[in-house]
Amino acid sequence: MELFSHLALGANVALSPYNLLYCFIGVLLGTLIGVLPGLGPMATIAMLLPITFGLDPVTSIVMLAGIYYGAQYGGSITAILINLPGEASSVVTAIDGHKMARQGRAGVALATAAIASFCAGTVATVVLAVFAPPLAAMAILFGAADYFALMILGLVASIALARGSLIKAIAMALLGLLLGLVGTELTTGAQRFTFGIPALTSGINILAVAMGIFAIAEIGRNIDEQRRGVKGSYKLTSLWLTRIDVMRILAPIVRGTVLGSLLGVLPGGGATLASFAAYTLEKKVSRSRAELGEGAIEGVASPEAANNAAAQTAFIPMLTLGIPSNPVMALIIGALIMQGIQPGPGVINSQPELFWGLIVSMWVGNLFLIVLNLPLVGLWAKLLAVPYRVLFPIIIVMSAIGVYSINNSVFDIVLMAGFGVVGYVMIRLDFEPAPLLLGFIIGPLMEEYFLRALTISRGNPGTFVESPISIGLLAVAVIGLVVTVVPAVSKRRETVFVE
Amino acid sequence: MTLNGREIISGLTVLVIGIGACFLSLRISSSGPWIQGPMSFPLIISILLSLSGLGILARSFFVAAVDIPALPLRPLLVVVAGCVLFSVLIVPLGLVPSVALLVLISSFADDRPRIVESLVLAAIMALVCYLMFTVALSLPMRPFGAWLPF
Repeated sequence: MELFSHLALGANVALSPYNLLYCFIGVLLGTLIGVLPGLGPMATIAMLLPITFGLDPVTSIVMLAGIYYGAQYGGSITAILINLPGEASSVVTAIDGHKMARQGRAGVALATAAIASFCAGTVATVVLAVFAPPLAAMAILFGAADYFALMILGLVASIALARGSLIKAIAMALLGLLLGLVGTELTTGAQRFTFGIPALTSGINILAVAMGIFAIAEIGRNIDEQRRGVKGSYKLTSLWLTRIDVMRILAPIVRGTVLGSLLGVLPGGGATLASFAAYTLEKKVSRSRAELGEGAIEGVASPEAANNAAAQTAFIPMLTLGIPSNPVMALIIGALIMQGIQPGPGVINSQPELFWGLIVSMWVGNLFLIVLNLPLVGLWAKLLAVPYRVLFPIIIVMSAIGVYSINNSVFDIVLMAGFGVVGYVMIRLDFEPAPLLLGFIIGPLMEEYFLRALTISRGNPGTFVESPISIGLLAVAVIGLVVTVVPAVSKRRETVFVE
Repeated sequence: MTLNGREIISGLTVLVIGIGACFLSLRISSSGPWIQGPMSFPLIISILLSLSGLGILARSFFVAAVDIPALPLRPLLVVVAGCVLFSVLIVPLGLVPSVALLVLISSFADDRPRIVESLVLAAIMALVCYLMFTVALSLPMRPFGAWLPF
């Protein structure tokens, strides 16, 4: 079968000692940074991105994937042990996981998270291997207008899934699009929004945006939270699950995996949506739903399976269409572009080593997570005892050097600080950062397809509603927006995200 | 009815940015049919942004103010100042002293900074960064810059 020869090729790449080593380092570093309170996968990847630049493209994406899973698991450790979820995707884990820790079952909760993640990761790897190639083949049928519609759908999805006011999320997505356009327009060389600053002619550095908004702006909040919150930290206990525990987590893992694999592919989806949805589902169908919220093991197993499955299947639209479905994927696309690879339908055929190597290394990364993190979990837990006043100067130094090292541009450091201020204002005014970052990444791509479609149609804007694919995608986007403003749904949406 | 201050400020901020972006977009030089040029996409987005600002303003009259947790300003200001100083000093002073300085400044983000602890941390970080970025990753950053005699 073709699939097996592809996977063999991938194994050949992923299991080469060199890539294996970097996958290992990626998982290790990802967990190391991800476990620190207040740093979610987003900030972790942003901080560690520069160290992948010197590597060849395949190794760098293998390492990035490792960093991503490591960071996500690290976030779960923090959520369970000290109830400080680094990113929205581990908020759900904290609900029951931290209760379990208080009941003296922290070790079981951590082991459950690792096992659930591994099972889900294995399934999602197969899903990715089976479904990505046909999707990429289909994507070749997409015209410029269809791509444009698809990106609108992606933006709308990220808006609909943002917490809080819809119109404010729209504003953030639009602002992100504009920020993405700063710099020299490629076909005409026109300068846009550069304010005559030479350093801006090549555009805004994505890391400056990501680290400013996700790391710098949050430092004040984290200093505050740590001062109040860390008393709730719990000691590690035995990692072994009892037979009853194992029986209880089987069904939730399956449910979480299926749900996560599906939701990860959706534009705007990804780990956060998946873990929320999985928890909601458990509340409806689980046999022990009455215990959920009081330290039920299902409340850890299902969301952890879901967020890991989704983290993995989110690579499908990224690799096949070149469209990021969430901010983490946006950052990884940014890294690939810096490596000279434009993700899109062609990648599978033009870079088979990269594509299949990545798929196999995803599974390897998950394996590392379980064999590495469970024995080391005591060490990670010790890291949580390091006071934040020691951690945050380290975070700032690593961010500043990281952002500087990309272009050797001191201006980028100032820009990062500037986006720290922007992020602070956004928090104060209750704006969500995720749509902004997605817009920022998608902006140039969206304009490219916008102009290409108009060139083909000789300037007729009607082209965007001509092809059935484009009409279909735009219709889904419109329905998505309308549905979120329907009072019943918007009320539900609020309760889901407030919980 | 009480005015929802935060939403009004939010709306005005977005509106001002949107209108400013409209003007900047109109100044982009474009030849040929405007819709196919470099001006059209930014202009459309800017107009939509302005409209969303108006939308936020309009909505502010209908929604009640919700409390969000306060966020201390001091850490941000300290960190921003530290980063700006770091950007000025990294080339002339070099990596090692700039890192140490940034760590020292950052520690004042906490309103009870511990000077001795910060000095130790600054020394460790300077050494770690030297080993990691200059020695291991061989990034083009001089450990000590031209302003220093060695």
